[in-house]
Amino acid sequence: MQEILSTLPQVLLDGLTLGAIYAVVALGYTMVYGILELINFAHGEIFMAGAFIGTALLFGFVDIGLALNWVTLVLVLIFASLLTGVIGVGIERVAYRPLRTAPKLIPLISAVGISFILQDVVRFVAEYKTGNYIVTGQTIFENKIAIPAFSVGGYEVHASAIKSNTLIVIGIAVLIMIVLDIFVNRTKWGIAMRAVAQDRATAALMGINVNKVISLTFFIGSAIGGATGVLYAQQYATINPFIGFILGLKAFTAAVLGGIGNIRGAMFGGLLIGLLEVFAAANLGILTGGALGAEYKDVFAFIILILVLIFKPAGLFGQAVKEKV
Amino acid sequence: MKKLTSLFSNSRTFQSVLILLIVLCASTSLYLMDKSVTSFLLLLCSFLLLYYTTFSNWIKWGVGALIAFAVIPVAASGGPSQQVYMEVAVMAGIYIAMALGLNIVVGFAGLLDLGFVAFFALGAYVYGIFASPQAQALFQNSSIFPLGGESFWLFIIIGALVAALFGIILGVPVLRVKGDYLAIVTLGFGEIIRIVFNNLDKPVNITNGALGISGIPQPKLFGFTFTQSSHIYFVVLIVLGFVIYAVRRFEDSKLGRSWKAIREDEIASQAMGIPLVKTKLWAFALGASFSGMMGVLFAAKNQFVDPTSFTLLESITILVMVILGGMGSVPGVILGAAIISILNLQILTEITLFLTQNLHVPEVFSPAKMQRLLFGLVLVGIAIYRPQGLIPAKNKTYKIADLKAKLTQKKGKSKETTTSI
Amino acid sequence: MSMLTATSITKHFGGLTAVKDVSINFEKGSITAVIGPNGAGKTTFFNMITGIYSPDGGEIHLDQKTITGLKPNFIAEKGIARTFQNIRLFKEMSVLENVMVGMHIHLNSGFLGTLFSTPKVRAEEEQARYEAYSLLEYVGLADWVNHQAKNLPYGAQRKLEIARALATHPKVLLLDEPAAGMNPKETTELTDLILQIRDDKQITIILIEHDMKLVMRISEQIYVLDHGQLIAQGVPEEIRNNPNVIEAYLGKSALSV
Repeated sequence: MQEILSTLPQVLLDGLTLGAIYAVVALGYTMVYGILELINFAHGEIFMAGAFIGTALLFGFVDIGLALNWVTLVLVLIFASLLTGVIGVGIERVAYRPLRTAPKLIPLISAVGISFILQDVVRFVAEYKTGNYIVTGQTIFENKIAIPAFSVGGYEVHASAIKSNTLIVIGIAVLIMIVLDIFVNRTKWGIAMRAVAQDRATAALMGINVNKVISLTFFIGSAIGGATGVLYAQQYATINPFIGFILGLKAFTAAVLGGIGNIRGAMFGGLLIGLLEVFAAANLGILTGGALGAEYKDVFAFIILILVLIFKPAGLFGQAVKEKV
Repeated sequence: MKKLTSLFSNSRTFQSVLILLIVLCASTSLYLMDKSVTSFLLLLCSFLLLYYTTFSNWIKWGVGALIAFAVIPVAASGGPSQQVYMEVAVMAGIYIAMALGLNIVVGFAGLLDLGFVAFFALGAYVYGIFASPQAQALFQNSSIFPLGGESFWLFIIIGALVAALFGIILGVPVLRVKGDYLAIVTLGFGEIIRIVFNNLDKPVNITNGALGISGIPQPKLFGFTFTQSSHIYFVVLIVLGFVIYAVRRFEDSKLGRSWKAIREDEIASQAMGIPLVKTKLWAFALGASFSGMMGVLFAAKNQFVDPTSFTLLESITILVMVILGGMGSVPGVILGAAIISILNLQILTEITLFLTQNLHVPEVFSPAKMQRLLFGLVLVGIAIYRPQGLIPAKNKTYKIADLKAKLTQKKGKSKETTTSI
Repeated sequence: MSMLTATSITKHFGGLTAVKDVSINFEKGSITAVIGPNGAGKTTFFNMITGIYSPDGGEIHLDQKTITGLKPNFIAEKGIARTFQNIRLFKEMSVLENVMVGMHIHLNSGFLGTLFSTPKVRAEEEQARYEAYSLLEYVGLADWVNHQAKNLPYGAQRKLEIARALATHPKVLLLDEPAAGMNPKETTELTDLILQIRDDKQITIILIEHDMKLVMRISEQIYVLDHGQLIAQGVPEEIRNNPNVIEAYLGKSALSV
């Protein structure tokens, strides 16, 4: 107990950071699923591509002698999200749209294929440019903010430290979520999006350009996924073309946990999974008396996924959907 | 070209001559030359040609078995690369059997399984642990371990059963929910199994962690040890033969029809009295069991297992085989698996070798490294342009005249009996 | 003698009550129609009987035994078969295989029997094949045996659904808009087929249908649903002149004219 509590502030902070990243990536899954009923396997790779694009841009900025500061970060975020947004729209156009009437299995297969293509293209480019597909990029905000040790009710709590970047990650992630929430609920296009998600045929009859709305959904989902990739690269510095896969799996779990198609649910699910994972990584060894270590942290998200599917398949906030007979 | 195909489909003499010619040419050149990938491939193509002949099934299977059991091993034995060919053939056989297993799940029952390699890993580790010195470390007081190469034959069945059991354990919760979640859960399961095997060296050393298990015995029978790929080849052929036989039995059975019915329409299937979860579990368990069997074979062939052989890439490789060949089509899946495994094991490495050595192309461009890109393109391309695959699945057809004749015969009989009463 | 009874069954979807307190008794060997405007709850009523939805209240009995809340596959085993409003055939399978799937519950081939292809299993398969063929002949699809179900013309697809349902050897057959999308000639053929099925096989038939000519011609009893409630019942002649029914279909103004 003492041991767990003593590291708690650090665990909470790290968990919140990771959770914010999961939450934003989960948004991409949930938006696409809500509108097309398709698990967009490539979304994790979009996130990864964002991380690489951001890292490449920063390298480029350094090369031309730009100082790395707030302005460059914002520039990189904008560029990377525009680019990943366009990639997302392109993927939908090429690999999903022709399959809209095909049996459900077929677009899933196409999605897996796209995900593999993205992984390998990024790997190739990274390896071609740097000789290694594992890349350590420039990070901008490295300075640490210390939180001193203190004690609560007789328990000693260790000192913890956060990178100033952590605050940026959480801040931007929260900003993205708020803006998206307002967009979906308050704007004309957001309402069109929800209408298409509810009933594509009727929405079309009401004069909504369904294809445009779907493209927009992919653009937004991919753009914020890519931006999160940039944040991830800033936070953890080292990236590789395969980071999107496991992270995507966890983000999808977050989306299921929050009720797939439910945007606020996905945010909540992401934060929860992030916190649980970091908590497990820090304390699994302590809780099991050393039998299981931090290696099993990835297993956690998966077990949560299975449990949710068994007991609450519609998620914590979702509504069960019945097929029309 | 058109003339040629029509000549082929119309004349059995032409068919026999052509196949005989190809088999003869390919096997002699394979026998005489040191290393000739082309003639090896040509020899394998004779199977495909055989499939398209109009002979009866018995003749096709007979000739196919003759080529597989006699012609290929003899032809390959001519040069120093014998074991290379046999190794490729063995791996192709293992992949074909696994792809046929996955085809039950994806092709027949329409359930997307992205972690199929997990069952392969289970089979491999079950044999690996109990038949190698690893078991001694695990059960220090017991004198029966390690079990040794004679137990291999028993473990083929145990591997199948263990894999099937895990298929059911995973399937029971997951198969209740909507189909597309299955893809993501199996994806997770595949990773989890790998992580667990990678870390199960503590608190008790079961899998020896990332180091893997070595010293796994080769199969033994009546004092003979299957040491070479050319020996294992025959074991693989027999197991593969059984797998093909089993798949064809199930395809046109009560169970096979209910798989396909569920794939087409779950609600209508239920209304016809088909229990959804149970039927899906059968598909899951049966597909997994083929994979488990092949895992045992794989462990015995390599004498070593470690978690790196069971990555997501492997699962997707098997999926690509099924999709490329044609979901639900047994000959298609066999073709797809053969193409992809030979591409993987031989053609890509040959091209890479050629490019880097002769043309001095930098290593980063080597096609052997671009498997993911290649597989991704195959998946997307097939999904968009040819979802039915190279050899589309065919429904069994019946001669209407036969059905009619039998029916009138039966009706006649029942009328006779009623009139006699 | 009653074959199937629904006793005050109710189904809610969120705030909407799709079926409210409906009780109907279906006599053995009868042909009964359930009619009503769109959205009246007819298909929901069928879905409760066949177990796709379980009722929120009330009881359903088949042959005096309760089947309330059973899963669809068990209800099929007990002897209720159905067709679907939006045709649900096994599209990629052959016409013959579609009917053979309908025989699922009457085939006993086990795992090992199938694997080793025992004589018993082979005989059973052969028998099933002939029966499937004879059912196809019965509904007039004998020439389509080897076609893929999706390639059948629309009317033939509806007939195939009936043949598939008959293959389960049902006591009760539920037809959900069997004549929808058919031309007059096909509808006449269908009418004859339904009558013939009842006469040959003594099956209790319940149908939902909008084609009033068909309904009036073959139904012995008609039940009218509106907004989830039973508003009328009786023989065709009574229903034709029932003011409640006319109001439900055409609105209040229709009565004053």
